[in-house]
Amino acid sequence: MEFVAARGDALLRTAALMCGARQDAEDVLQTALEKAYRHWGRIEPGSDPEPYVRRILVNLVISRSRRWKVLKEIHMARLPERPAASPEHAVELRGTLMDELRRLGPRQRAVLVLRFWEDLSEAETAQALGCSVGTVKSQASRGLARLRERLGTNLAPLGR
Amino acid sequence: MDLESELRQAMAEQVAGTTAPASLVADVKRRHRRRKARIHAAAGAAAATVAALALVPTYQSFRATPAGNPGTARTADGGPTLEQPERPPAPGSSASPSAKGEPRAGASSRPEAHPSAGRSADGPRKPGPGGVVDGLPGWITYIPDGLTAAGPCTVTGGAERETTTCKWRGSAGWLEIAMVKGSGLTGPRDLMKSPGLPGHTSVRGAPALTADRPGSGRQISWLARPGVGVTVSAGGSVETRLMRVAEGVRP
Repeated sequence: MEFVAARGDALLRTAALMCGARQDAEDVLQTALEKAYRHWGRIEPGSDPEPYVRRILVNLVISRSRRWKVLKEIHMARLPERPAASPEHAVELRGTLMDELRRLGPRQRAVLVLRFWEDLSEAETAQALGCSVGTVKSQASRGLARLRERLGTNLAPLGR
Repeated sequence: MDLESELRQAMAEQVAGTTAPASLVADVKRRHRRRKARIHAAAGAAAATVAALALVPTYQSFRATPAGNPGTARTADGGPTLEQPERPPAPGSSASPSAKGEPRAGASSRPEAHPSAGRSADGPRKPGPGGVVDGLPGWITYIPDGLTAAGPCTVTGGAERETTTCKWRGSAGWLEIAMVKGSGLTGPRDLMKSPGLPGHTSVRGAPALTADRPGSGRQISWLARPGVGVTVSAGGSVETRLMRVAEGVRP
């Protein structure tokens, strides 16, 4: 419980960045913490439980995104409407960046959040995702490239 | 400023005001309790389903109609009842040849019959054709109500083809069950006594032939297993129970 009190905010922020919505993030975080609570005995005494909880969190977000994608494909006869980007919104580069981040696949989004929000190394990110370092490198590279591509002219002020 | 730095800044701004609710720990505990309760309920339901599935066949087997009706299955002279021969004889009663472990003439190796009240003094019968098997054979598990054994079952024929015949009569009509053992049996047609075109049916999965007997009654014949055939004939109102009787014959 001390762990939740100490790291709850950070975990919720990570979940919010990966999920894109606050309510979903809270729900996923509760599920992840419940799962970790159930299997708390698997954590070695004295070791930091955060990587274990973070891994559960990432797996849950990815699984949930996949499930929702299937449900959306089943239930939606036409593509969901996307809000039209207003000229004012276009200049708000960070807001556009976040919009584009949400449109990435769940795995690529998780890689970018863990690498650039949690500041995890490639090896730590690979451990959290349960994949190889090479996969993390390629996913991060592709995710950033896609962001650059989608941002298009909005990157001009950045000199890219 | 590059894209990575801009992304970091964007993410920091996005979640700047995000804090975990104070009830997070309580919510997690409540979710854990709910999950445990749900699992216990599911396990209970599964156990109840398995128990029900296991108990229904057992209950059905208890409910199965016993062979004959003890009240009507006695012979006119108060002879042996139509009980199943698997039941051990009462202590002190006259010992049957099978109870003594001696072979019975003309009968199969299975314990098939009880001795009649007056036959124990005759001692074990000698092997050979035309023997008599007393009481109700164990391979007959159902006799309709209202019938009384016309006499002990008889065994005729020789080693090549042995026929055990049991007969019942009563206000409900008459019934005759014949079990034929022989290596020459190739199909139910070999057992048919009635001329004419037989009808086709099945008894416990085995192909069977039915026919109307001249005069009265119907019969059904089938091979229960290779070399063992059965013919059940019935007349009167028992005719309607012919298939039920046939299903109860388990040689």
